Amino acid sequence: MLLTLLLACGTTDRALLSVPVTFKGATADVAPVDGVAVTLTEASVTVFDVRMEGLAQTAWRWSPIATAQAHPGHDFAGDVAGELTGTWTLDLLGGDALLGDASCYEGEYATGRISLLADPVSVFAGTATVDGVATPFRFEVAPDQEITGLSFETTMAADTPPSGISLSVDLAHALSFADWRTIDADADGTLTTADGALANTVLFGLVATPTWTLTPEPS
Amino acid sequence: MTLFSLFLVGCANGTWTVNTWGEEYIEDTIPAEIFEDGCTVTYDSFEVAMSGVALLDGDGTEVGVVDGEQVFDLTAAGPHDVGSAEVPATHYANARYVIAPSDQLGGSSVVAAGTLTCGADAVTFDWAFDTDTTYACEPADLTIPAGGEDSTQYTIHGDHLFYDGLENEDAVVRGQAIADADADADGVVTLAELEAVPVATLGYQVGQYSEVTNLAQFVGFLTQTLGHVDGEGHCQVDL
Repeated sequence: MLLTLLLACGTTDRALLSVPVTFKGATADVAPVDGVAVTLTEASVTVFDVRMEGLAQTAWRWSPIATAQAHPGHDFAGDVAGELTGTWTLDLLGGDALLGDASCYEGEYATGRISLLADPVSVFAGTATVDGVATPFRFEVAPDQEITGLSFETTMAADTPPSGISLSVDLAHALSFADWRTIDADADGTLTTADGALANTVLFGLVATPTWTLTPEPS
Repeated sequence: MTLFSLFLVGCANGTWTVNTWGEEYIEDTIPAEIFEDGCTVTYDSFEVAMSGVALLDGDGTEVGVVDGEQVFDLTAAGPHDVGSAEVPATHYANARYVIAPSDQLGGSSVVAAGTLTCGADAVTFDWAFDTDTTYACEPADLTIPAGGEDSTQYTIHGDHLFYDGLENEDAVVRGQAIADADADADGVVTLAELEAVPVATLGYQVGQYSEVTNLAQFVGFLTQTLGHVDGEGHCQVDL
């Protein structure tokens, strides 16, 4: 546990705050690109752990937390200073949902990250209207990836703790990489990830950092 | 100052020598077993413009500098001497170098040319990049002895131009998407052709670098991951 590691590294002079984390439900009607209107009837994603990080360290010092390195698999982030662990299969259209209370050290924050799990698969289904023609779609994708670099610029103080942290998803952005004019190659009447490059483009949009937002709610 | 103390000061320095190497992947070939899709790459040239070579103490202060810019074609047999500096004799954990645009390389920082072969498809490429990357490295075990020398190697990994992810740990090396980018089928893949390929369609991943939307940007970004130290040692980069 990263927070445990930080504890061992002498950061315990900072107060530990309990901050509720809520997923903010998304709307079913989105316009991912010009000329395309999408009405979702089903949208679900499995999220694993929510973490918030302090300012990135660039000084010459040893750090137990990975910093940017010249190799894929490493990103430039500060120490983890707040986290909510757990796994949630979110109904993205089901309204707001409390995920739990995150443990956060007081201090400055810069970024956050979540992970998406492949099992159960993420589902997006509904109808896309393109140039006046409505086509049903059902995309099932299996992300297995951290979403890093979520902007989370805030300062948490023990005397003015945030009232909460909200996690939200931009479904228009998530679906904006798909080519909605893809031909229904198997002629089954429904666009799926078997058609064209939709398997790649839908997954790409789902795991894109701008698709997800972590927001500190004012105290 | 006594003669004895002068003697101690004189012996308190050693020599830090620096070389750079592109290893077999750049000098010879990147074999099919390295590529997830069985492609291979042979470089005809792989030039890097190196500068900012310095050894730093624990406070980040430069204690030894190799001045100037140098261009190395890493397809030539290496390692290649970069230079040396007299530095205080002690253990060091921090060294730095920069690969940045240079007039000596036509304003580029990295120029890579070669042949990518995927099955029956073979395409050539000749790409120039102007990325500016500072590598802050932790040498493997660098101790400069008094009156002696120790060395650091800045190692350049030529396979990194073909990774399919910018951030994910399970990124693998692929070539087919780049071979397929030869839109005019003339056997040459240009950066303009790579620019026409949306990275979202490929199954590639950009992580938090969402500004990377096409394959030319993607490969350009990967030029910032080429640099290592002492073989497989990693360096920090500020992306």
